[in-house]
Amino acid sequence: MIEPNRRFPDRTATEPRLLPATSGAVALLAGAAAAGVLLLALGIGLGSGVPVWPLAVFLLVAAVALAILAGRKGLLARGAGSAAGAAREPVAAEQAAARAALRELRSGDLVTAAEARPHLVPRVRSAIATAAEGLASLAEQLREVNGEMASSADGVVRMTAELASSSSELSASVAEITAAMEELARTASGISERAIAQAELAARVERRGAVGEEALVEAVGGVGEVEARIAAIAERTDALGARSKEIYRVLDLIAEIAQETHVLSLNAAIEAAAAGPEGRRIAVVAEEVRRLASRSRDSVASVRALLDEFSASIRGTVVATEEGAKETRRVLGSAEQAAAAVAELRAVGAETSARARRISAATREQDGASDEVVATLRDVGYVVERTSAALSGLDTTQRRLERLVLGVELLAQGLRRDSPTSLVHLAEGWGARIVGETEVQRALDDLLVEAPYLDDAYMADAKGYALFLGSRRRPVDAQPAAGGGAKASPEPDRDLSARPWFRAVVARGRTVLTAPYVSVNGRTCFTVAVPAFGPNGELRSVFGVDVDVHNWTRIGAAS
Amino acid sequence: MDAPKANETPAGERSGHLLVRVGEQICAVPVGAVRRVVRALTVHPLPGARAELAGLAEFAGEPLPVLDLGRLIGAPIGPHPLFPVTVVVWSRTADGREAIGLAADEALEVVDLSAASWLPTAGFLVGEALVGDQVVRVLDPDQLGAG
Repeated sequence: MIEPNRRFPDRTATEPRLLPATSGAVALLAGAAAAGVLLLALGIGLGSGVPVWPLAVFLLVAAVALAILAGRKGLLARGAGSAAGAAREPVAAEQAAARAALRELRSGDLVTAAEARPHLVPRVRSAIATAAEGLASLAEQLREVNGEMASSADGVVRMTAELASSSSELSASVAEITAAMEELARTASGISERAIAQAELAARVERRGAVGEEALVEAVGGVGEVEARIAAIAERTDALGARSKEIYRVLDLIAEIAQETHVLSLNAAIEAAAAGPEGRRIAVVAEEVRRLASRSRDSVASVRALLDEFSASIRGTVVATEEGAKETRRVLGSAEQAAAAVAELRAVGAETSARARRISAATREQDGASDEVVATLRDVGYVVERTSAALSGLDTTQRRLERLVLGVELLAQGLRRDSPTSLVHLAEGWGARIVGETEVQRALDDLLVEAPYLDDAYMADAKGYALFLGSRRRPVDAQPAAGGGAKASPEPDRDLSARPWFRAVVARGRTVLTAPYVSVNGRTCFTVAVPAFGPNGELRSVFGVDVDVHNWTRIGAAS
Repeated sequence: MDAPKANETPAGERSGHLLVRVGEQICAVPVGAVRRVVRALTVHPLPGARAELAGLAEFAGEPLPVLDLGRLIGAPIGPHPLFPVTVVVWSRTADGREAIGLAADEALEVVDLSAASWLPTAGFLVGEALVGDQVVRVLDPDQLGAG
């Protein structure tokens, strides 16, 4: 931590020597050079457009300071050589005045250093004033650049926060997607199983269909046979019918012959009767013939009757077979319909099998795609991990940057400038004002309102006891305890004599700016303490303020 | 053949008769008068002849008048006969005999009939006889001529 108020050996020079005066300037120049180098390094490192001209100003100031001191040496040498004796008294006064001014400059109090003093050679005063102006400008530039860096740091913080939230969002998305992929895989496997079951069912249907088809083919074949048989029967029936007709004709013929024979027998009988007794033998024969004819007639009649019966039964058979044929054709029609239905069923079964195969293939494809997604997710996971690692690195960088910003700010604050951005100047102003106040407590409270970057303000006596305290944290301290009854807020410690800043003020007798520290509520602060002296130069009181770094660098830098 | 004997049979004696059916009726013709029984001859009708005369047919190279026996005896027309016959009979005329054909439905048999039951009637129907339980009407062909 850079502390601008470090102690330098306080040399009281009896003769003008370059060393004491230059040692202070050199120290300032060294500080400015360090700041400039830092700025350049930061500018190069962060890529922000750090203007180079502060460095030029510092070089100019350095050259001016060296010129001044060289001229001063020459002047003193000339003065010492030429008017050594006669001008010794006024020269000593001039030297004392110059030394005082340079002491102020060395201490960083640019305001006091540039003030007019008695016995101070105007040229020296103007040189010192110019140097003070240059340093003040440098300090301003430092602060401006620092403010930009603080913004960049804020930007980095925001970016980091965004990155972190994006990272965590990404992680959440990855987890979601992974879960979704697992769900998908389960669903897909479920679908695949069902598809396989469907395929098996379809295969069974196919087999049954094949069996059914065979049965139908057999049935159709059987029906065809039946039809053929029926056709054969019909043919035979026709043949029988034709034969019957022939037989009927033959019967008719026989009947006719029988009739003829009968008539013949009658004629024979008649002749026999006419022949008298000799005709008796012929009459007997005639009678036999007649009987024969009669028997023939009877036979014909019975054969005819049989044939009629036969024909009737044949006709019956024909009708029956025709009915049978009709029924057979009807059965065949039904069988063909059934065959068509079975064929359709088989087609559906085949289509179902094809579909099941396609689903299986799609599921396998999906598995492949899922694997790809899982691999991609793993890659994303690696990226998230690396991003987290980088973010933590960034976090470190950010903290370093914050420390750097703080360091540069404190470096700039080490110079008291006549500017509302110089805390030392502001504090000295407040201190001078409040010392003369009658209502110190209220003045302190008003100050806290006026300067929102102040956490506390106090006025202590020469022993370090805090006579008055103004604190922004007071309402927090006044919260009631959980026990129910209001507990009196613990009395803040009023003994400030052990505080480092009090000790430094007492030792140095001038305004002190501490190094940053972490306060009780975790905020980074530093303290500015201003001594007030009595008419005899004794320490009367110390006015102090605690500055919240975060609020100052943002509010203060903007003003 | 010699000249025919008398057709008349003394009562009590049995003589042969040819039974023929016409419609439902059965007639008996003495066998002595029957010349021949033949399948029904083709009859050519004579316009203007009496109803009983069915027409003229040809027999043994001579024209033969054929009488419708059914009309003759008043028998109603029966079912169409299977084997109709024409009974050619001798009918004695004043100067000899002539052949006349009788169209009948069926020629049955020759039986002996007794004249005891004959009813003396006029005309060609000389009586009735019983064959079994069937009443037959006996014809006298000699009365058929001169028509």
